[in-house]
Amino acid sequence: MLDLWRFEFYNSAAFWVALAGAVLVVRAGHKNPRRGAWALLACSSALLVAIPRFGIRDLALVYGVAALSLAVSRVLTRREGAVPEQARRVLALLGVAAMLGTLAVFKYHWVQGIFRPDRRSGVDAPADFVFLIGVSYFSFKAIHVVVESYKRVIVDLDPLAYFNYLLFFPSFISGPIARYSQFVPQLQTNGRGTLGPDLKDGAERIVHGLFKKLVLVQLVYPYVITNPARPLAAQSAEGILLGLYAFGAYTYFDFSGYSDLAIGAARLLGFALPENFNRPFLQKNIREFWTNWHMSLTSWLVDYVYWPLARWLRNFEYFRVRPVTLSVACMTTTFLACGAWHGESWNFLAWGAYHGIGISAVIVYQRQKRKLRSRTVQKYFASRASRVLGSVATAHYFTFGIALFALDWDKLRLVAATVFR
Amino acid sequence: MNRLAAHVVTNWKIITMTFEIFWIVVFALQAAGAGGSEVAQFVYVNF
Repeated sequence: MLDLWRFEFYNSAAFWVALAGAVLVVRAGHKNPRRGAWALLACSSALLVAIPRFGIRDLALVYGVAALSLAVSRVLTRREGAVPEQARRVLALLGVAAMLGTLAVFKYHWVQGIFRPDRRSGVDAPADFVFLIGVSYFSFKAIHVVVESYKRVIVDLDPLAYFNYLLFFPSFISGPIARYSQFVPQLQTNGRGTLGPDLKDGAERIVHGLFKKLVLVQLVYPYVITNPARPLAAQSAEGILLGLYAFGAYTYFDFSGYSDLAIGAARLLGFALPENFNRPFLQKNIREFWTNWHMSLTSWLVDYVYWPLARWLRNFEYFRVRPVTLSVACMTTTFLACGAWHGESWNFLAWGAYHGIGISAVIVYQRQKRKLRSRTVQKYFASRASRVLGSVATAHYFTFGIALFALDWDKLRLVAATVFR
Repeated sequence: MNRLAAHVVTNWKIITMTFEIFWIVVFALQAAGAGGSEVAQFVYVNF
């Protein structure tokens, strides 16, 4: 019986039937927001346990992590003076550390290996690895709430709202990463009075997502560099370049398609999620690319890695008098964190560093550009040709960097040997 | 020709949606007939 309640999100007919049921149940509670919130939490919980490799134990773990972060945040939102400031700071740091620790334990083999008694015997088979679907995303949402509670931006934390925010099923697996203050007020309105537009816009978005996932992905996948049917060793330089271009397109269609589906499904339920993609391949430099690619993650990293680091480094004279150096250091660190968040292998760190360095180069370039006095050069920079050239260069920079993301060291060496033969 | 272009612009959304739905159905039926998709679903982060 339980096997019937097992389906991939967005990729199975059963999910769409379940989503339709969830829409009916959640929307039925629109006159009573509290009842609607309970209905949404019940639907989220029920649908999450349907995900293959995510069961009751995993759901309990997520509830446990949510309860821990909620408890920390509730203390931090107590009225001013109720908790000494030093204690608040320590508690906030511990809360963030606990969420990062949760992320590290369920994401990185080597961290879990520290706690495994069979590690000494050398047993470290991937099948033994305990993972938790969605941990990369809900841990970041929890950190966001802890930090904003410490800063007193969030002043009132309702447990039901918080659990709904963390477990919201349309975006649980791979985002978009919504902000608490943007999500929770929608629990009050619960889609009241917007059924028609929500259904129309949500359905339209779902169609776009399905087109990207079912059609465009299918068209490009045969050519991607990671396709087992196209072994790297058998590829020419042109074949490898085609594989990289195809992988870049595949990544965009698949992930932006997923984001469309998540945003569309949320809209059917009466909720607006933040956008994740905005024509990234039309952006004129890699800095603007990243403000239009996986936007919810980029803005999270800027708010919780870049700016805290920048504020801390400004305490040092060396960085205070060198704003470009400060910016470069912070940006590179932020994207190293981005790479580490994507995966534990060294190639993800290298990929993050690649983009951090690329954005840093743009920062330096843009600063130097302003010093040029030639009117011809200034006219060129303002021209459409400059923008087109920039877009083409940016798309290529991202696409070639994909090799670091998709391939391990041996395959990278093979690619380099083939392309630069 | 200008009238055609004007019609296309006015009805661009419907045209796009029809095009997309048509190909979704074609590819979905093809996938169902082949016993499911063989394309790796790209989870854009390792969980």
